[in-house]
Amino acid sequence: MTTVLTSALDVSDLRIDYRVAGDWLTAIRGVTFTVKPGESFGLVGESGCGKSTIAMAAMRYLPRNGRISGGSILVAGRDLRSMGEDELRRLRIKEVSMVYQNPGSALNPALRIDEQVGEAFQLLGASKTEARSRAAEALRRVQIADPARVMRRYPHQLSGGMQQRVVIAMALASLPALLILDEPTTGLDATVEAEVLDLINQLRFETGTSVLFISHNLAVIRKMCDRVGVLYAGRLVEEGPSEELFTDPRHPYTVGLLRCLPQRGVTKDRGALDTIPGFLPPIGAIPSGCVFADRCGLVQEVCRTDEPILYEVSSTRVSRCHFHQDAPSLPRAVPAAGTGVKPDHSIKLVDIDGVSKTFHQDGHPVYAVVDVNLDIAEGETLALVGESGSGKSTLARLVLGLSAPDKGSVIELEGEKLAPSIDVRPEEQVRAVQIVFQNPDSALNRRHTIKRIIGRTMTKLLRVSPAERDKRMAELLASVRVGSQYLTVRPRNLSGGLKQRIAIARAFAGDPKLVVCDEPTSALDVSVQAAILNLLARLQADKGVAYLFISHDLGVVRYLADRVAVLYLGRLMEVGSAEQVFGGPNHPYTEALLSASAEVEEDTRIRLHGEIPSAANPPPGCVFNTRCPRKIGEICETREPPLAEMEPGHSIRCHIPLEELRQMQSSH
Amino acid sequence: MTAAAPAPVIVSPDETRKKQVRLLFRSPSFLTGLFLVGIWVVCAIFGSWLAPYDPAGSASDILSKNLPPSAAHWFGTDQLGRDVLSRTIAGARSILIIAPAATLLGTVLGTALGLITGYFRGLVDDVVSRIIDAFLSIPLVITGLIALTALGPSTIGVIVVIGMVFTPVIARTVRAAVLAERELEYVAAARLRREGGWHIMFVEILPNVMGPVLVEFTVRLGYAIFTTATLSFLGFGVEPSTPDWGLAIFQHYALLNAGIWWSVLFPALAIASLVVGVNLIADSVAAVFEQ
Repeated sequence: MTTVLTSALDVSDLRIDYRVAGDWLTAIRGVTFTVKPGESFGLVGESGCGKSTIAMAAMRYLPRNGRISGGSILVAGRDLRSMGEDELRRLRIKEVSMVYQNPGSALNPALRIDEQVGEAFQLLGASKTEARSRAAEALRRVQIADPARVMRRYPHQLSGGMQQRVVIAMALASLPALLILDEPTTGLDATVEAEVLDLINQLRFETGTSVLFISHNLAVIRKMCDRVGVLYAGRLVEEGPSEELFTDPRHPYTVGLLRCLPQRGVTKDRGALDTIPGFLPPIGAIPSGCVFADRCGLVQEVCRTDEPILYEVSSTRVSRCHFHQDAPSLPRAVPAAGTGVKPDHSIKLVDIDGVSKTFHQDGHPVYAVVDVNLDIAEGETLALVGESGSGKSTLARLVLGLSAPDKGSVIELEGEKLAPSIDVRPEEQVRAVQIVFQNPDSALNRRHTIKRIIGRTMTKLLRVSPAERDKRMAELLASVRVGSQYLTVRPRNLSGGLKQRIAIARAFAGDPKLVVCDEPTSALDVSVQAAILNLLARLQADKGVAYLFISHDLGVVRYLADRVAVLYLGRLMEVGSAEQVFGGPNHPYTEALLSASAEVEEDTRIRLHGEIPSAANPPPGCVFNTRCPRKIGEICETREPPLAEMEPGHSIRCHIPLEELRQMQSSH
Repeated sequence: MTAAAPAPVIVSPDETRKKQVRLLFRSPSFLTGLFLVGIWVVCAIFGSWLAPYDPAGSASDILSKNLPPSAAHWFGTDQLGRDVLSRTIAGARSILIIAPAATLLGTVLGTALGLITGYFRGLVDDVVSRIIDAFLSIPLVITGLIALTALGPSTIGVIVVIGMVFTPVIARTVRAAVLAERELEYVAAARLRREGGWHIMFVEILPNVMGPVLVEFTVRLGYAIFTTATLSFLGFGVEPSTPDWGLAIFQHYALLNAGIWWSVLFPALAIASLVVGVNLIADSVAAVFEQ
């Protein structure tokens, strides 16, 4: 191309409608932004804000009930709206590529990797053999160590991170002018996410392609993007260089979003998280004033009558707020006070002693949990962290009695042995241990009303009369801040946050002593997550319940946990108080997990490479030795280190002495 | 991800069912099917008033037998001189009792069996599923014929046999749906308050698999009509004097060679229109309830 382009993507005054039950409702209104050549532009906002809609429109991939009803989209200087099918196809081959959230469904399960990646090159005019060799090259470029081996595989034989690399390799086949990434790492583990994000950054540097990066994750956007646009209810409310926008946000929505994230140094006893009150307006609702007015702490009369223009905050930044100068002083939506309760670790509630779980798969043993020793004190939160496949959820199921541990495992509650199966536990113990599941959509029976879900649980667990049940139900719903008008409603008519409150209420219906929380906020938006974390912290302080809290989000763990246990391949690698684990020194695996969380600066982190080994065939010696960045030698491959108490309450399973670990980890 | 708004809109609890029903009534194929089936339902209920002649009344004189369609007899008369139109109208009754009753029986038994095998899995599932497989490998009509020969033909017999033959097919569909449902966490939540297996199957899981069950019912109903007609064609249906479409075809198809087509064509068209009507309904129900 001889002409110099001024933009890779130019969206101007874009309007997109969806047809819902026969009516066209406006989902995106007057959105304007530009992605310059070589630039990485981020779109953030909570679910339902229209991020993915814009991404789809930029490929002209809107679903059949969607239409672009105004404005223009220029990709590499060419107007997408006036293109015919053939021209669009050529554009999608050459100029613009997209990577979706779920690589598993983006790849064709029936085609081997060489055929799929090769196809991308064949479309560009390469012969079959040439395409194959270029595919291998492309895989090498996305840092797949052994392309020849990977190319013979089918997608399901690859891990999620590997699949996403393959998708990225295909997307970059044509060296597109624009690469659209729609939540590319959302389904991946933090360690893998960190690797994939590094890769994207490096490829961007190498190829000079422009990126439109869509994510709900503010930390990821901050790390990956030069400029950011914040979407709210289909409107672009703020736009600017990412560093400036995140350190000095000038729209109350951006300010609110950032405040919802747990901050370093703030824990549940010391402060509550701020939230954004209210709900996103339904699609198609066009308020007369500012879209955010109903939820804004700075709202004035003028906000309800006049929609603000995009005010220039500086030469590079705009904000759609009448009071953008005041945005940083947005008043808190909830009081800042924390629970003020610090649990006493000496009163032991649960004792997990030598617990193992071996599954049998086609006659082969799979060691999901291996000899775990842990205890949980009354009223404290023990967090379980580790990548997927580390045995966190299995351990939780053993405690709940949903599956039975191996012989010789002992789990005690208040000194009494817990029967291996829920079916034979005495009522008292059934009541005492309950759970809040990750996804309230599948955890609540969608054909039952809220009243039935909670009422039935109370009747079964507490054996109370209907009158007593109704009284308790009203109190319980009030304690999770759900109005009684929702009693006759079925779950699908509730928002995600309300559903999770109901799930929490159900877990608390029988006055439990221990509640397992299995990723309770990972399916929720940040503003809803903040409210749920506040609720969990307050319920714990009020009722003295202990939590076994499973999470991959270390920010959340830091906020809520009193103690942290790190699992890898079913083994406990480190356990200690939250201060000890977050302060270090750490087991190298914990160190890797900590540095994978996106807040850490680039130069100070260590990266895990490769994949978590199969639990059916764990490596000999220390199970982490195959991926350990701090491996010291042969001893790691031959002898499994013991879990040794390195300082009071802080145990690490590593051959490296504590002082050496401290030195290694403070040197960067 | 679509742009669904997570606002807590309170809608009446049965909003989704209402929406599905509304969608159904907007679908042209559903309305066409409903019209076709509706005609035959009206005939089945009010047949004796609608029929221009007595469907059972045979003519005494030989001249009024096998008359071609005319103004007096729109569909002609059959070999006994009975009005084919009247017998076609009256014939709707037997088939519209037998087919739905048999399908209902098959659906109830199949759903129960599907729930049990899908929920318990293990040995129960293995044994029952293999029996089902064996059962399904024999052609349906053959199974029916063998059973009816053993039982002796009767209306109840036909209903039971068709119902039993459908049971494994429906059980298989329901089992697949249950296998997906039982892994959902609301089932674990029910176990955690110590609900028994029967409660979990019939109170927790069953309402969530009603979509596939309903779809299966409508699809099977089409087959049931066809099977009922086939069985009476083969002489294993209702008593020989009752007006019945399959029976009428059986009694008259030998006359086709003689150019007497009307006493076969009209009952055949009746069967075809009812099956097409039911299948149109089944397709639209499947489209709405299986997303």
